[in-house]
Amino acid sequence: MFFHIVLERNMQLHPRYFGRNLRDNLVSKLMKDVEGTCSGRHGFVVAVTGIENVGKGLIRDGTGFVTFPVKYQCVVFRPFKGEILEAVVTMVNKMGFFAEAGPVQIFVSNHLIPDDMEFQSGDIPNYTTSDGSVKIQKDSEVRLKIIGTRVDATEIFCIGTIKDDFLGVINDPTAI
Amino acid sequence: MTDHYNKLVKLVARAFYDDDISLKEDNNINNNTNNNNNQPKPGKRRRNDNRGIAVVILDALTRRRRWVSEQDLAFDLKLNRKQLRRTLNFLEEEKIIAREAVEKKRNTFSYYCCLDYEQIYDVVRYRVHGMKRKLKDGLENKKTVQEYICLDCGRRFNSLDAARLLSLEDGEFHCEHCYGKVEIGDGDGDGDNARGQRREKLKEMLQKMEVQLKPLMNQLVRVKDLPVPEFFTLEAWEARSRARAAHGDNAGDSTLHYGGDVQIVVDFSGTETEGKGEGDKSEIEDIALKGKYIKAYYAALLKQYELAEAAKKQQELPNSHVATYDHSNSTHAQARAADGDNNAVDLTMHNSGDFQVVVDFNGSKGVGDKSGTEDIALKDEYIKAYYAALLKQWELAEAAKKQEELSNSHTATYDHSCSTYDRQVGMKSKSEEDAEEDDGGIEWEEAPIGGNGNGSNRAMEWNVQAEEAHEGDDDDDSVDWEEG
Ligand SMILES: [Zn+2]
Repeated sequence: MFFHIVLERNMQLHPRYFGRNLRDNLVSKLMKDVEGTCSGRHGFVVAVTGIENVGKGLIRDGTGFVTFPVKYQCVVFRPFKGEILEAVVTMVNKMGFFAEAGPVQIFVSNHLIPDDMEFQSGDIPNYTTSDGSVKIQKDSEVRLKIIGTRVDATEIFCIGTIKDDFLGVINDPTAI
Repeated sequence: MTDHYNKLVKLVARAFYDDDISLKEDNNINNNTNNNNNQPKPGKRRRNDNRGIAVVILDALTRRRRWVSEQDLAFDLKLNRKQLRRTLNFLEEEKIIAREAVEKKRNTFSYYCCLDYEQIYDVVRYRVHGMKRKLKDGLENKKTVQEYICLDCGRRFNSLDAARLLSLEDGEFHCEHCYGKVEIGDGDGDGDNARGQRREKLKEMLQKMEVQLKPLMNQLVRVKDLPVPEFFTLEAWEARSRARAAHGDNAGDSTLHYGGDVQIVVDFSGTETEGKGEGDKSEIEDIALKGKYIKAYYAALLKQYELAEAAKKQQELPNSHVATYDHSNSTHAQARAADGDNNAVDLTMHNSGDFQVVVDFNGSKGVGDKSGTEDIALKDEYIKAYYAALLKQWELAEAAKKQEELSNSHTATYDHSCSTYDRQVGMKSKSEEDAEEDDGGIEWEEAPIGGNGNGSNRAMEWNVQAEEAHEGDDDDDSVDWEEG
């Protein structure tokens, strides 16, 4: 699920960036620093959308670095248990398959793949129904449901299922 | 209308709250079908066994209708107030009852409780839905997290570790410690065997649940389209019943004010008499009216016994001493054997429309299982004689009383020299029927009988149950005849 929230961060800036473009430098450094990162609490920071305010800088003794408290708006993505996501399959093996929904990696273990789909090894490992009509392989798009998340301080990993109504392959790359 | 809801409450009580509630509280914390944590921890021992108390309380509440003072409830049920409160707390948390505190004096509160039918209906449906979903999910392996095990070092992982186990070299899973091969393992050990067993167990549980909850489900369906008894806050309800009382219009109404208790204790053991009249000030007719009830009750008791006796003779069950009772006649009373003085018959009459009779045959506390047919026959004779004597006794006492003309107390004293029997006789009848009953036909009759006080019709419940002193609680729907 996506959220638009305000976060705060203390930015340390090297004295060489001081000057007319200080604010621009600060913002571009902020984007470089936070976009794409993940916190267990808020999820993945997808994009910084604006700066709320920049507090007074504090010069640090000894180094000359200045710390600015920056409040910024951003879009975050946080997966939840029970959430339905559309994801792209990145890797298939006999234990199941991995898929990605944006920054989130999801693993679907083989017992959460419908029973009528069998694992086929080979150059392109895949799960296929006995009549061959449905196939899951690398780059397939699937709709899955998240049944568990593992949230670490800097990482979120999910496990999902496609063994439920309206879940499974939504776009087969080989069929196009 | 309310009756259907009351039946629902009774079914719910028996289905979900008939075990020790304090244990349930613990289980709620770590309840997990996968781990089979439902058994109470063996190391833990309880000082008080609270089994069945919730059932007793809920049943009592269905009889009383609407708001009841917890103090009165504790008194009527002869329960420790702390114990009652603990159970009520639990039931409140379960959203079965509503409670309110009223400040009587400064810092002294009276607590009242009440069944919240509308909520009960929702809560029960939600609960059943949850149970079913959990079992079904377990059965279809839907929500389970796959376990893996390293074949080399034996470390265990689950699918949440998948990203770390995945090796980019061959696309297979390898142990993150020793790079050994990782295979699918099972939580309980390994292999499909354990999993198969678990599936079987779940399947069985699901089937059992369907069967056992069928009466409850039927009742839920029955109640579905009925209007829910209106819920009043304590204040609103009191105001309403006051208004009704003012209009003299409380005929057959479920919102009758629950006033004081009128209690008559009839002591057959000899001279000791006990009588408590509290609450209602009532007139002589009142007593006379009640006298009629007692008479009717004894007559019914005798008749009932004779009927059952006849039925038993027809059935002629030689080896089992079980006769089934049908309580379809208009009086349905409950007499409970309680530990107490010798042969004390304790008649408790509540203004709320409850009528409880406790017959105590507790002359001697011998329990023996050896019984022959002669014994039973002998005992039957006793019982019959006893009831007849009871009836006669009452009539005599009544006559005596008329002469005495007790005018301002609710106390009636009866003397009874119990010379006709010296053996312990037992009779037990329960209206509860097996939960497995097909149509959910569990019967709790409430027969309307002429009311007291203002002589209007009021539903009165008569429960008859006399059991042997040693009898604990069992769910038999039969009458046991046993040698005492
Ligand atoms: Zn290992």
